[in-house]
Amino acid sequence: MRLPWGITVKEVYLAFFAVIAIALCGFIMVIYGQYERVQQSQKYTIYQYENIRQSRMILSDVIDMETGVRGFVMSGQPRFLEPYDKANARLRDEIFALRNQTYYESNSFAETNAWLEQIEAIQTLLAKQVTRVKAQGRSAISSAEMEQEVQQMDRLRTTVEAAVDKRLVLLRQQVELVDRQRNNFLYILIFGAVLGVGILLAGTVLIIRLESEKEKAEDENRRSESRFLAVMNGVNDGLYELNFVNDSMFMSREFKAMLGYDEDELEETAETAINLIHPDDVEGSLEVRRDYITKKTPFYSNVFRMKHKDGTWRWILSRGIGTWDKFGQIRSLIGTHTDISEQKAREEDLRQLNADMEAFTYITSHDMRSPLVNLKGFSHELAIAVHEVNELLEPKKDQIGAPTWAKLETILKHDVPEALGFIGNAVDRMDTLTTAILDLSRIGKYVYHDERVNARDVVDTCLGAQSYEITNKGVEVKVGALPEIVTDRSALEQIFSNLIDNAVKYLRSDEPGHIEITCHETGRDYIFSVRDNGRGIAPEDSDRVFNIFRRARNTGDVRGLGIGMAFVKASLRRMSGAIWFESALNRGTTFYFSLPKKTLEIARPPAEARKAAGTKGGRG
Amino acid sequence: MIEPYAAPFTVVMVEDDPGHAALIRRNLQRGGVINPITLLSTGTQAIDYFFPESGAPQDHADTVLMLDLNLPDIDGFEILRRLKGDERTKMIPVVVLTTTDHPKDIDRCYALGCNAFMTKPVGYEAFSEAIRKLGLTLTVVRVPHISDDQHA
Repeated sequence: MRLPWGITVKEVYLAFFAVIAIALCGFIMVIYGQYERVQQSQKYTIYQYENIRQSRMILSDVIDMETGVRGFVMSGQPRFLEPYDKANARLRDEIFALRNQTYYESNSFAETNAWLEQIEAIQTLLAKQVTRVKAQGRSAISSAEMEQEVQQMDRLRTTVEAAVDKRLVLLRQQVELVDRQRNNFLYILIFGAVLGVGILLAGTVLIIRLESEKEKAEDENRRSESRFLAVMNGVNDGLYELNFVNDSMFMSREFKAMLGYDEDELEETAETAINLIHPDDVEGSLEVRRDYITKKTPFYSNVFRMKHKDGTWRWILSRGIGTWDKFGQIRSLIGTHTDISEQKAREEDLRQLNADMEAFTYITSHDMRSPLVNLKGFSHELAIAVHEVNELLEPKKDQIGAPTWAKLETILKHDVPEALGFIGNAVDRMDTLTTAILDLSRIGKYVYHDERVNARDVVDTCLGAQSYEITNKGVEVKVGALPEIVTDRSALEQIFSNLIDNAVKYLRSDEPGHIEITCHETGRDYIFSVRDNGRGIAPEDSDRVFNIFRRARNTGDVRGLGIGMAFVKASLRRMSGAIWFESALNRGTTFYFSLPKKTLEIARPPAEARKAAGTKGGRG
Repeated sequence: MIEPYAAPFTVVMVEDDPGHAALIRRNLQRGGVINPITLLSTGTQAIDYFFPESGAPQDHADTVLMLDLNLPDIDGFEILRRLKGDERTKMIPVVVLTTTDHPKDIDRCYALGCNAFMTKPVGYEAFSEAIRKLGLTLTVVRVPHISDDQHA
């Protein structure tokens, strides 16, 4: 997973932790607030109940006093005064306690004071009654006084009950509030829990994703590394890292195995490696490395021999990439060693083969010709000699006698010249063949010089060279639109010349000839075609067409050696082109050849030795 | 009009193939060269002829050399190099007459200082024609080099 704004995984973790911490703090504060409120409402409830209890106790004490006094008044017995005295003694403290309790509650303080007045009035009344009864007897209390007393008592009761009721209402309200708060608290709890779980879940998912991403990346890393290792092992390339700071050199197992050493057998220093390089190659290879280090060359590719443990020399291709510090000083060179001994051996073989080929062509051009000079020369000398003999004998014709003369004449004028003629022809043929071999071998040495060539001009030149034949045979030649291409002019001329020559040469005698030359382009090639309505090539002959000294079997009446197409094919191969044909016997043949599109920028510079061995020869 | 046979000169032919030597000799004679022709059939003989180990150095002022390149022991290039590298012999006109027409060989011979390079044609007519013309040339064109006192 890619994170936007360049945030790192670590930052995500920290942010996540902060969110959780803040949420937790908030949550704790919410819970604590609730706890405080519950505590407060509890205190309040206790306080209210305490007030109620106190109020009731005061009321009941007052009632006790009244009842005691009434009992005393009615019975006259002092024993009834016992509750009155007790209650009276208690009442004072109780009232004070209540006043203290409700001190902060202004209206209930006033209320309590109002009670106190009433209670004091009742107390005074009762105390007066008690005193009077004690002094004057039970009759001293009038019914009016009793009535007043009852009234006062009722008032007090009503007042206290009202206060209690009010407190009860308050309490109920409080309970309702608490209930509501409890509900709210529950919602907050549920909400908080859901939120917390949500955050936790999101965070966990995020972390899991990040972790799995990381794991995947690590996995990918591991896989690519193992792939790399597998490739390195597979191709058996040795890995090295040359450290220029301390001249140490890491060498992989394959690096050492390539030279026949075990992992612990080579000291990993630059010196070790240099000591293993062939003495003749040390200078050159260091030079190549220096050129790379000083950035004279853009790539490091070095070839040298290194000594194998078994004493043989191995050709090593060393390629690498350097790292430089900011002062342009090389720090390290990391690269691979490839054992190219086999390629080198093959190269050597190839070079040997080429040398052999060169020697062969040289021998062909020189040594095989020498005897031919003799054969030809002396057969001619012989002819001259025979001619002279003939002239010497001629005057002595009569002396020799007719039958002998006739025989001599056959020998001298027929048999010997015929024999010499065959020898001469054979030598000529031999000479042509050796020349052809030589020409073909020289294609490989020809240096192609690319230039802008108008194909139309080239074709016109070739047609001009053939104009005698073309006019003579009444051939109709059509030339389509031909492009300007980048190629070697004389090579193209030879190709067209051979193809047109063949097309003209192998027309049918019974039909007027048509030759058409066209070109079309593909993405990377120009494809030229030369179409004729000539005798065609039999399918069985299709392989012979491009072979040297081979010709199609229906060409016996036309002189030719079977060199031209072999030459064309070899030329085209050198020019990265190709040649092929379509043909139907007695209907005609179309030869196609392709040349790659090129631009002059990549063209080779004009070479000095431009020696093309050009031949025109027969088909096939 | 230049008198063709006025100046007598010796033709030295280095040629390992006796057939070729015979053909060249005959054709030179048919071409009008009646001068003495010395045949040397190996490279060693050629070197001995021009650089004798003992005896006074010979005067080769009136010598024309016809040199084949392919010789069994010391090849024509070597002989050419030594002749043209030596003050005493470098004025000798050398015509390389050989079977090869390899461009490299031709260039090499001229680089070594040969005066003419001729390929032996296989065709007899062409061959004899060439030799006859060579014979004529030899009689007319003498030593195509700057005179000794100027150069030395």
